[in-house]
Amino acid sequence: MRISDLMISNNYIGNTNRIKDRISNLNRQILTGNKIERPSDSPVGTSRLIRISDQSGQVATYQSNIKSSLSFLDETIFAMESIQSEVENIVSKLTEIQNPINQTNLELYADMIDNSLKIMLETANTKSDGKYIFGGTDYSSEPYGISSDNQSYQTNTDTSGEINVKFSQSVVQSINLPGLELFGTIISNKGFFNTADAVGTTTNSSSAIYDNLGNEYTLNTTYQKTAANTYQMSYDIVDGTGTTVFGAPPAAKSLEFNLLNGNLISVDGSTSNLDFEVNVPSNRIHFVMDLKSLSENDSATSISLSANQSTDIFNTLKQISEDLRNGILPSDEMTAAVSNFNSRLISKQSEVGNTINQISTLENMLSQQSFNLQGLAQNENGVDMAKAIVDLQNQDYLLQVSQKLGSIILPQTLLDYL
Amino acid sequence: MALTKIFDISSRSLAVYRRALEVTSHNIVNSANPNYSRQRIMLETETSNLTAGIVWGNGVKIDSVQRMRDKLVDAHILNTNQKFYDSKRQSELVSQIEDVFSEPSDLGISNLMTNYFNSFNELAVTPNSLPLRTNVLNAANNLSAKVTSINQSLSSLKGDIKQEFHQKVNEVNSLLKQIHQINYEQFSNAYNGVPVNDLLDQRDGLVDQLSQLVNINVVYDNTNSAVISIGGALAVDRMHAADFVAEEVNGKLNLKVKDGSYPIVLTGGELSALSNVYSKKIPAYQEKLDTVINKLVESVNAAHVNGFTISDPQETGLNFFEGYVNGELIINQEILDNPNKIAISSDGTEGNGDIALTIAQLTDAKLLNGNTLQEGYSSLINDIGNDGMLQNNYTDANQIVLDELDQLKASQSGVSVDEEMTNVLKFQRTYEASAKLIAIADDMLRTILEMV
Repeated sequence: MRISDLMISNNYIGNTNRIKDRISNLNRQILTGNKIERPSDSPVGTSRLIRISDQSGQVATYQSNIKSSLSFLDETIFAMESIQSEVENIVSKLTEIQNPINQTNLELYADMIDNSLKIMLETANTKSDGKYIFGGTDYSSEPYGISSDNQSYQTNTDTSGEINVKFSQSVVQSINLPGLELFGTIISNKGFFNTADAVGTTTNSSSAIYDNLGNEYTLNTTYQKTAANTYQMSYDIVDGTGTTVFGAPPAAKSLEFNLLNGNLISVDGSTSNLDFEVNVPSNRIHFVMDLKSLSENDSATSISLSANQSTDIFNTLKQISEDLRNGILPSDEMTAAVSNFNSRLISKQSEVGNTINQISTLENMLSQQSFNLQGLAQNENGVDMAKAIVDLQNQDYLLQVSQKLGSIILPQTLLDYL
Repeated sequence: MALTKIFDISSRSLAVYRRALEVTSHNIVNSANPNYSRQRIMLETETSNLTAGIVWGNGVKIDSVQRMRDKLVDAHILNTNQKFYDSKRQSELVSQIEDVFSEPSDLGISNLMTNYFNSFNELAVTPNSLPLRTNVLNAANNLSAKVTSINQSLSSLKGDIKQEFHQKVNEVNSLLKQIHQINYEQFSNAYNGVPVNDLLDQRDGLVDQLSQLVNINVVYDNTNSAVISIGGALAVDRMHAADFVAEEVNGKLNLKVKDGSYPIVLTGGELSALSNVYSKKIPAYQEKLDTVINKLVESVNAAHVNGFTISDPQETGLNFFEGYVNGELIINQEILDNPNKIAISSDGTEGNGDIALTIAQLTDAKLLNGNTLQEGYSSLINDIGNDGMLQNNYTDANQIVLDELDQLKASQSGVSVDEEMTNVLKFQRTYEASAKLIAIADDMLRTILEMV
């Protein structure tokens, strides 16, 4: 092949360009620490990096969610503990009162109970991070207070709300203990409807309920089958004389059951709220009707109503203290109500404790996951520094050699020897 | 037979080798000119004559000055040029588009979208927290700014491409006119016996430039004029040069002959790259981005519209995004003015953040034909990356072929100074010898004269 001068210089320039290109690329990798600068460097790697960074962003958020939730849950536990110490105090005082020696100072006991009641009420109204710990999700006013006529304690807001937080791709967990579950009255509707019942069949059930002052009322419920798997539920509350407490009959609820497993799936079309609140302030009646335990199956229709308590703890204590001031010893039912509350408190405490455990476990998992993701990102995009530096030195050496050779060979022609 | 014949032969030789040295020096001084083709002087013996039964040699003469050129390599170079400049320009443009998306980095849409959804996730923990609500707005603003800026950048890139296309079409027209001019000149010069080698070099240079711009087909007619067609349409011959114009029809950049009715099929050169990126690539990327963003707006709004604000008075039925219009992602101004209008409460209580959870869960929802928003976006980036990589690879591959062809061309047509210097010495010696011959003939003549 005939070699012209242009070929030699083109060759030289082409080769040095290639070396310089590699040097600049290695330089960039070492300076940024990243192998992938733009998607065309590795389209698949870029997609993977995007996914990894999306995931680690999510994991970081879950971790921060866990941190703030744990502090909220810790405050919840703390509040429950302080309520519990007051309740235990009251329980021991109630035992003391049974001793005739102590019965001369009933007024003093009343004072002590009032005091404990005040602390409990204050604790029940505690806020953490702008949220009422036992207030559900309704923060429009303090959840617990005294009625305008000072006659009884009442729940001012709907305390049933749950604060749901996402802790991982698949875990959504409520982080609050709704006040309703601790302090509120819940009337559970339990039992089954027979699937074979004809449309139009009605079923009745009733239960005694109490207002905040301890007066007894009767709650009557009627279920009518309106179509397959669908029932209409109407209810009424009547006093001892049979007079309804409602000005107008409350709207009937529509219940729908799952065709296959017979579980209740919706109340008035809502699948998330399988309960509803009944609040009659004029009669100091306030409770939640829980329908979750209703189902449909092949057994004979039987529906029953049961309440978790007759009167809430605040009004029970108020009643006890008022009785004591009037020289009346607390009844067995009342003492039992306080003990019941105490055991409910303990069981709820362990529920909250479980939630804390569960979230803490997740926290460990997430930090492991975050570590793994960092490793993956590093695998995909990280530069092997040692290799890059050796490569760079190698290329630099090549460049120097080619420049040296170029400087010797390029200018040489026959002219130099003429 | 006279002594003067030696004078004749020698003086002719002097003229021939002076001319040969001229050609050599022309070669030497053009050794760095890439369009130059080395010229070679072809010598032959002058016609001899027959006198008294003996053949008498009459010395040397110049047959021609040849231009050393390999037509096959030239045709290959033109062909490869079209592919190389097409892929090179496309790879440069796609690389600009990659810059616009700034992936993979914290500033890309993927990260901003993750941040946006995560801000809702965090807000669900304390739904009534103003700082967390402001956080959501910040994340939304960042996302909206990036989406808007990408669309603006793509539009302005398209504007630039269109302008460049027009400029390149003008360049094509100007090259065609120059080629036409040279076609004409070389014909008339050749006809009049004027050497045309340098004109042909010039024309080859212009054709080379033209092949970098657009797909051309070159043939040479019997007058050695270059007849060039662009995508099948006659562009230039010895008689005329066509005028081309750029036009945009339905968002596609086309090249067509002025007054012609059909667009020319562009398959090579920078014009093809510009038209391809303008008419196909950018619209395809924009469409994919639009699909992702539209779905994002639609799904976030669908959840948000059911939520209740914690503003006073409480509201519901608000959209989070006003819309995605002309590439601009617009956040509801009411929400921007009052973060409490982020409607994430499902039941109206201020501690409920269920809607925020629903929105946060959209990251995992298969909203785009079985893909999540992030996957949809990531496939767009994958497309851009693959296009970029493909064009880079094509460019590298064609570069190698082009380098090889350039070497072949340089081997055939390039000047070797060593070779030329050897020729200089050779021609100089012959020149000196011829001069010596004249001196000897002179001596011989004097000898005879002195005899008289």
